[in-house]
This record gives sequence, structure tokens and C-alpha cells, in this order.
Amino acid sequence: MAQTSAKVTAAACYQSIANRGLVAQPWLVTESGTVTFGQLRARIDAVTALLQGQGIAVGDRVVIATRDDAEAAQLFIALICNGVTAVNLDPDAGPDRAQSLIAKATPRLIIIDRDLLARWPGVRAAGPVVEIVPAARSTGVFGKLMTQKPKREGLHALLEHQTPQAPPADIDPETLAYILFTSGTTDQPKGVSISHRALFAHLATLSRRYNYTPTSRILNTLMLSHADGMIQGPVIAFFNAIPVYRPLRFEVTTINLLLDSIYQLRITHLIAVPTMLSLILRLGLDQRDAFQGGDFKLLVSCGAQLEPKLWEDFERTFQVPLVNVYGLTETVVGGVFSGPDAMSREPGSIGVPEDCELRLADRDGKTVADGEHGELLMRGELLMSGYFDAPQMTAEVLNEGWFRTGDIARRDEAGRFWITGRAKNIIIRGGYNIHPEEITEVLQRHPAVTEAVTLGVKDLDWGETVVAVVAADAAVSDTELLTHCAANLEPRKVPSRIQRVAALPRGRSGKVVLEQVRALLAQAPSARAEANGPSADDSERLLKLAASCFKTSVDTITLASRPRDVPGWDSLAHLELVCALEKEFDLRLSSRDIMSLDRLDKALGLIQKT
Amino acid sequence: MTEKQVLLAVLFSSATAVLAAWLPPPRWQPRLIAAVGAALLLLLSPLSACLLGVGAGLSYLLHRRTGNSRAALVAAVVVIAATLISFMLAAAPAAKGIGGHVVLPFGLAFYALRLIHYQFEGYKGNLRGHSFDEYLGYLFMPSLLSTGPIHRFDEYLRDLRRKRWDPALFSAGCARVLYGLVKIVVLGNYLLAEVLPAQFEALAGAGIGHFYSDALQFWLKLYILFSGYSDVAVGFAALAGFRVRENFDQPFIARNISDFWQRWHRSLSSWCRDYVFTPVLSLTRSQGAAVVSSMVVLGLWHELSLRYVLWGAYHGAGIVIFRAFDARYGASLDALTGVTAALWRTLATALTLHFVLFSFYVTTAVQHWLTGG
Repeated sequence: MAQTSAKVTAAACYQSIANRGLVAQPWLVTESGTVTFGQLRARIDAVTALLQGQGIAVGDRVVIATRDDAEAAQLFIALICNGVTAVNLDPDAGPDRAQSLIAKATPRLIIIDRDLLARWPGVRAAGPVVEIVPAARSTGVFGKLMTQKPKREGLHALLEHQTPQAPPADIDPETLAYILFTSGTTDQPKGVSISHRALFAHLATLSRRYNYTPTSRILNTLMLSHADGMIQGPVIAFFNAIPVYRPLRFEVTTINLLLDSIYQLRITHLIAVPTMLSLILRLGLDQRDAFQGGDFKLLVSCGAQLEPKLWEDFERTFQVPLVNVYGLTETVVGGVFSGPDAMSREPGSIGVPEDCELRLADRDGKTVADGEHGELLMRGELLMSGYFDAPQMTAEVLNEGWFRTGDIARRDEAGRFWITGRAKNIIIRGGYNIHPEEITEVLQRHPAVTEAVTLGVKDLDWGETVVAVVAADAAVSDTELLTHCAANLEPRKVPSRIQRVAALPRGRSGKVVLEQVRALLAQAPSARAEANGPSADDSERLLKLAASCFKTSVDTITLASRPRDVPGWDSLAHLELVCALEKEFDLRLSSRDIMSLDRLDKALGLIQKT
Repeated sequence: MTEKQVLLAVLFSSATAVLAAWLPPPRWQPRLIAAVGAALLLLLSPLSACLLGVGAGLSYLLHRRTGNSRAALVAAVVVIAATLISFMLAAAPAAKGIGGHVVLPFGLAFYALRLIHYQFEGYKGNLRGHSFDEYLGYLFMPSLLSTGPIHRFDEYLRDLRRKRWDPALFSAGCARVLYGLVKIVVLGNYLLAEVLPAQFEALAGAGIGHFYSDALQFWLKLYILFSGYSDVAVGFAALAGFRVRENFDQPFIARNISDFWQRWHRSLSSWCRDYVFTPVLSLTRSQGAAVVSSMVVLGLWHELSLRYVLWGAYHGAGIVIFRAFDARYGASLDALTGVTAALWRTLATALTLHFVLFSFYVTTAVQHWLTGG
């Protein structure tokens, strides 16, 4: 009974999936198969027995590191149900980082992919290891008939021999449910520690806000090593006893398949980051009716600031209600919501808090006057307990129940909050937080680099991209530096660009002056990041031109408009548009261009090609 | 085979294709739909089955090998059009024009256009990745083989990828098939064929009234039967999970001749717009040339004859004149309100209807005048 006002605990969720007729219902559907609630329950029971057998008790920590999504999600939930703190690591992490995080976690058990263990050799020293070994699959009809049941190894063999046991019915709400390491430097890893209290209180908030019902179906392709992927995916699906789908990895080439899936699987809720929305808006226009299959309820945008233009364009083009969630790993996932109701919805704003309080404070922690800018502080059940084993870092952000978000905000007359700046040094690329120091640290480890600094640069698709400014031996190529980064960092943290300088500008105290570095970057000839999208100016000119050819007003058309959507776009107007385009943008369209021009954004492509 | 037997064969195979679309695993569905369609073609016209089989293989290969080369497109269109034309020439002596019995290989007139459509969209770079099986499923879908609509490959493919059990679509499909059958059997083949002619005769008398009633009966019957067959085709496609473009949208209430062609046999007129009008427009930059050539092709598709050249040109001229008129007076006529607006709308609709009703009389008269008959 996930929706009642009574506190729902892990045990209650376990009971509800055990009692209801859910045994054969899907809980998690991935590329490689379906896990039903019945299977999830059996896995929880087996893991419970395994933990008890190993003497692992409430409050102990267990590390999970696997590329198998179904495996990671099942283990994560099984550990939580047992009051054992789950530490789910990003399998893309470099060996140094991974080993330092595992050492920091002091785990009682490390459950890890066999091939990851080979990549992270130091792991064995940090605690007992159980390997995840993919079962050998026999291929073909004959293979299946001739071979016996494949022999299990590692974790699966261990679990097979357990006598199933139900997890404990009572767990202290202050027990840590999971620790999630956010980006940070090696000597100061930031392990966000979330208690059962925070997790389950926030799951209830999210479920109410998104209006999850027993017939909801979630699609969430975000990474499980991050809160938006795991908590807003398998965990909230477990909480509500509803299915979550991860049918594919989100890539530019799978956008059409993603939109097909939304329709075909009768998805009601899509969880996405703004970068995804931007790419879908750019490349998914042939499938604008994908959300119109009669089931879709709500698009959840999370992970990064959703630009007002993208927000409105997406809503208008795909005709979907949207909610923007603001929050941090430190607040489970959210807390502040904008949309879909008219009161909180305001593109560009983060909306209003739910089940938590917000306050804007100046440098001294005093509340600022209404309309003034100040650092955004949050208070409520959803807050983390602290950074794991780092009291000083915790004290810096948590004070008398208030959490410092590091974001600068203001409040408007309607009570909605707007993020206006960032007090902390962080890069948000495609919805993932990156601490620039982490990249700087890796770069500085390269022998040829004398000094380096990393910062985020605005980007149309990614929100921000990572740029490293480096003073280094000229004999070392950028490619070599990037290869060095790739070997030591997760792929999304590798800089998109390296800018060489003779020396970094430093202030009197010896600190690098970031404003001056930014100014340096702006002058640099290879300011490529901005050039990857259509310029706003061209689109505006195009829309105006098209509107005049189609004898309609500019607000009735978008770049996604097709002849059948615009009453005035008949064949005559088509010719008019072609001639007007050629004149306005000084180009000559080939007959193929003219024939293929069945959507306005294609015209934009033609303009930019020349 | 009699017409009734053909109809029964089409109905039976369409129903079988519905089973093929749902029962087997997804990978097999397009394959089996195609197999049912191929069986239907083999039964009705083995020659046609061979033609479509060869056409499918060659066009798929061409698309795969040459991607979007212009030479390949031109070559493919020439070959397909030449095949269609030579069969039409061979069939010409037996033809009695629209609604008559043009003895072409079964379905050729429609699948030739689909093949051209596929090649054009490949050239334009609009085709999503697909397998040969999926392409066969598109070309051989039994309910659409005989009378269209000329559905589009991208729409078919999208429906295939999004396929899910949809009770609303299924029940709409059932209703649609029944509706179409009533149109064909009760309205078209009984009421309009057996009962009403005598009534019309009595009412019309001789002279101009006779002409009038003939034209009215002809177009009414054509509409009822053709739209009935389209209903059945669209309905069966819906039962199999595909949303096929509509072919008719209340054509007789069109306000102008351009509007009429967006309501009558829409899948053909939109085909002509995309693959005749727009290419001609893009090459010549002349609106008039593009309109007239696409209407002439539309006419000739029905029958290769001077009569249909004239008939196409008649409609093309109508559209060009309407466009000129609309550019000049359209805005002020749109601004009318109240009774004058209603009067103008009625007049415009009546004018359009009569332009269509008398199209064959006018073009036949011109033909006689030209040939001195």
C-alpha cells in the first residue's frame, strides 16, 4: 500500500510484492530480459540468507559493481530490505578512483563483475569478494537441446544453495539505505549517505507528485549508478509495485526506438534529462505522436536545469505534460517541483518545494529579503544523513537541519524559486554532475602537465561541456592527454576540448582566477561548443519567412511543422517558401532539397549546410 | 473467376493476414503477412505475383546497393513506369475507362505506385533501417493489394515497430470492414445497381435531365463502391494493427476543385503531389506545369487514352484557374459573414460538384471535336 499516508518501509514494500498477485508481473524489463516481482522476491530471500550466512548485519556495507542492470537493481533492493547499506559503484570508474572508493566504504562484501575485478586489481585487498559470472548461454536449437543446464558460478552458485529467508520486518529508519559516491577528488571522496527515513519519505513524495498508480509504467534509461537512474527507476517501481522499462541505451541512433517503445509499451511516465529532450526534439520529429498513444501521463525532467525554450518547445511539439524536478543526490533526487499543475509550472523556474522547506541565505546564513538572491537551503526528511565518514565536509553543508545546495536562487511573487547561479564549482553535463577538480587532478598526474584547470562551458545539447585548460610540454599532443583522461575517468568526464596556455592566470593568493580563464577561452579560436546547434537567429528568420509564405502567424508554426499540420502549407506555398528561402539566405536548392523539404527544421539544415 | 469470387478470396486472405499479424512471434509477422498476400496473388494472377516478387527484390537491392543515387532513382522509375504502361497498352482494347474492366495484372496499378514511392523516399533519405521481410510485408499486405489505398512505407514501418494490442483500433477495424461491406453489397451492388436506376430514369426524363441523372448515378456508384472497398481495406489493416491513410473525406462537399482532389482518392492524389507535382516543380519552378503534369499523370493512370489526357488536363486547368481566382479574390471572399458567406459557400460547393460531374462529358466532347468524330 504505497500511497497511504502511513510511513511505508522497505519491509512493507517487500510484503506488498509478496502478497499481491504480482508474482508473474514484470518489475524490471531490460534489453536482456524481464525480472518479475516473483523473481525479485525470490532474489531478496536468497540474498537475505546469504547475508545472514556471512554474518553481515544491519548497518554493514556491501559494494555492488556490475554492468548488468538487472543484477545491480536486484542486489540494491535486496540489501536495502535487509538494512544493509548498498554502495553501488559506477562500473565505468577508473581503477584508481574505484579502488579508493571501495577502500573508503570499508565493505563487508564486494559483489563485482568478473571482468571488472580484472580491471580493478586492488579491490581484493578491500574485503571479501563475490564474483558475478555471466551464465554461459548455449546457442541454437541443438545447443539448447544437447547441453545440460549451464553450471552456475560465483554469486549465482552461492545464491542457488541458500535456503530462502524473509528479510527483517523492522529496520531503524536512521539506518543508511545506500551510499552514493558523487564526483569528487581521490583524497576526498564524497559518499552521500541516505537513510531509510529519507529514502522512503522521498519515494512517497515522488509517487504522490507524479501520481503513480497501480497501472503506471515507467521508462527510465538513465544510469543505475546515479540516483535518477536507480531511485527513479527500479526502486520507485518496487515501492509502487509497478513495472519499469529500460529497453535500450539512450543514444542518438536509438531515439526512434525509444519513441517507438513509449508508444508500444504504453509508457505512462518517462524519466529523462534535458540533454535527452534536446536530442529527441532535434531528431525525433518524425514520431511526434509517440506520446499520443492514449497512455502517457507525465514527462519527468531531472538532473539539470531545463532551459525554458527547450521546455516549451518540447511540450508544444510532443504535446506532453512535463514536471521539472530540482534536487541533488544529497536530497535523494528531488524536493522542488515545477509543473505539471498551473500553479507551480513556470518554464525556467524550479517551482515550489513539496514535503520540504526552502530558504535563501546570504554568506552569513541570514535569510535574505524577498526578491533578493541568496544561496538555496533545504530542510526536510529527504536530506542525507551526511557524507560518509567525513564529518568536516558534512558540517560545511549541513547546519541545524538546513542543507546548503550550493545554488544561488531567488523567489518570485508567486512563491516559485529560480536558480540564478552556482556557488559551488561543479559541471553539469547531460544531467550528470562532474567535479572539475577530479579532472584537474587526473590531468596534473600526467608528467608533461605543469598546471591545469577544468571548467564547464555552456552547450546547447549537453547543458555544459567539460573544457580543460592546460599548461603542458608542447611535445605532448592533446590526443595523448585525452587518452590519459580516458584511462582514468568515466567516459562522460573526459574533456570535450583541451585548451593550451603558457601559464594559468593566478590571483595574489596563488589561486587560479576562473573569470580570467573563461575570458581566455572565449577568445580562443576553437570555441566549438557553441557551434553544434542551429543558431537561434536562423531559426527565427526561417519561422518568420515560413509564416509569411503560409499566411499564418509565427506562433502557429514550429521547426517541427509539416505540410499536413499547417493549413497554409500547400504546394503553392511550398514553391513560395523555396524561392523565399533562396533569396533570404542566398542559396540555391537542388531538386532533391526541394522534394525532401517536408519539415521546417530540414530547411534549417539546408541553410546551415551552406 | 467472377467478381464475387475475387472479393471472397480477398476477404478470406485479409482475414488470414490478421491472424498472421498477431499469432506468430513478432519476427515472423511481416513474413507471414507477405506469404498470405503472395498466395492470394498466385491464386488470382501468377503473372502479377511474379511481377511484384521481382519488383520487390530489385527495388530492395537497388535501395541497399545505391542508397540515394539519382541515376538509380531515374532508372527504377523508368522501368516501373514502362512495365505499367506496356501492360496498360496491351489491355487497352478491352478497357472501358474508369469503373470499367481494365484487364491489368491484379493489383499492378497500385503496387507500381508503391514501388516508385519506396524508391523516391530512399532517394530523399527518408527510409528508416528495415529488413527485406518487413518490405515484403508492406508490398504484399493482402487487403491493400487490389484497390489500395496506396499506403506509405514509413507509416507502415512505424506501425510495425509500435505494434501493441489495441482493443479500440481492433473494434474500429471490425466496424470499418462491416461498413465497407454494406456500402459495396447493399448500397452499391443492390440499391444503386438494381433499384435506383429505374427511379432516376422516371425522374430525369429525356434531354439534359437524362445526362444529369447519368452523371450523378455514375459518380455516386463510383464513390460508394470505391470508398466501400477502401473501407474494407483500411478496416482489415486496422485489425492487423496498421493505421492506413484514408482514401476519401466527403469529396462531394468540397468547396473548390483543389479541395476536391484532397478529398477524393487521397492516397493517389497525394502520391501525385509527392512524386509528380513536387519533382516537376523543383525542376521547372513552374506551378502551372507542375499542376497540369500531375493531373495528366493522375488521369493516365486510369487509362492510357486521349480522353484521359484531356480529363487530367481539364482538372489541372481547373486547379490553376481556381488558384489564380483565389489569389485575387480569396481574401475578400473569406472575409464575408452571415447570409452572404453561406450563399457563397453553397454556390462554391455546387460549382465544384458540377465541375466534377460534367468532367467526362466535357472531355469527351473535346475529344470528339479534336478527332473530328
